[in-house]
Amino acid sequence: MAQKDNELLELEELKTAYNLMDKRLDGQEIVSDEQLRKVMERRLTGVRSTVKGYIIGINLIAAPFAAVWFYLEDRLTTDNIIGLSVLWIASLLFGYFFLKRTGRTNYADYDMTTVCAQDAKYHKLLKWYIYATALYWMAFAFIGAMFDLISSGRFSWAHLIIWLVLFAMVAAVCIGGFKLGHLIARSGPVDPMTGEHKTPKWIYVVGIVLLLILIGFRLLRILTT
Amino acid sequence: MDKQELEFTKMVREYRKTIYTVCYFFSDNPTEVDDLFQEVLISLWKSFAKFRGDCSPKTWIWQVSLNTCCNIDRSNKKRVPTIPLVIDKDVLSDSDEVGQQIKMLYNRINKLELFDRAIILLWLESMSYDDIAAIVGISTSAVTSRLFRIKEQLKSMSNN
Repeated sequence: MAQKDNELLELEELKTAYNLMDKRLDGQEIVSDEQLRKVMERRLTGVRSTVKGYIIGINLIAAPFAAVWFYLEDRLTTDNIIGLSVLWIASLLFGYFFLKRTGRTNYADYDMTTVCAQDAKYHKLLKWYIYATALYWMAFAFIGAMFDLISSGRFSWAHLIIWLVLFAMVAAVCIGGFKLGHLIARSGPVDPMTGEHKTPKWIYVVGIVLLLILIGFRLLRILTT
Repeated sequence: MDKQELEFTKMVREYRKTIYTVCYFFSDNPTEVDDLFQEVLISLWKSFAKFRGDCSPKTWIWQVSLNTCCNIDRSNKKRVPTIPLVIDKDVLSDSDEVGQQIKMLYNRINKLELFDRAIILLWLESMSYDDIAAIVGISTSAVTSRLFRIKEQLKSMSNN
């Protein structure tokens, strides 16, 4: 019994020491504005690398790929060239100014409220850039298809309605697929290093396979006609 | 969004003691506390946007802090330059009786495995077994048996 009491006393001693430590830390500032700024800057670095990724994706992969595609399908018309050029130039300009501006931002120069506002602004800007690019691609595809119909003399209101319905369906499938992918990615375990969800590797594999299937089918069609 | 960032800084300031305590007990030496603290802040900041209040902020802070400290790659040389913490250097020194008690606590906890350190810290924080189970991601019965074993270990340390 005495031994048990002794043991309990020892554990209580640990609790007492823990509470004493807690009391000693009371009133200590511990974290500084400078440290919080440094942490906020980390996200800015992330945003900058995302923008770089999009710029490379759009300017070096998507736009040239679309141009080659149009060429193979014999659809590299003036309006398609203009459409792609606008996207290419707008994306380059956005990337250039965004990276220049964010590169100049030194969080150490501002107070915390301004740092928060700056960070929020850049984050929002990146979001709008993604939305605007997605919308542009959709509008580009739709207008391109309409031009094709008009120039080939097959345009009719029935065609337009069918196209609108098809377009809405494709948009819904794309948005739904994107949302689903996002949900699955978020369901993964949290990476303790970053505090973010780890995206399962199979999502990338499925995405690449789907893309390859799509490209394969289109190329097959082009080569056989 | 503005509001969210301000909320984050407010929350960090409110729970700075919790974050510091976790980092303190997971560090191998006093200089490592600053590094760990910054790593935990980065983890909290990155996951803050996804924190939807499913659990209390305190639970969330404990969870992210413990996860980060348990899983951090201490050999990783690619670290962000660390900013020193604003803390009175003598606050936890062993120059007085209280300091010595804290040092004794540190020495004992530091001898435990990382996962056991997490559990005992939550127990010292007077959290319920259910809360501990939710934070570390094991069942309540596993927490009970694990805590029993840890307490035995701690007792044997004091006997030595």
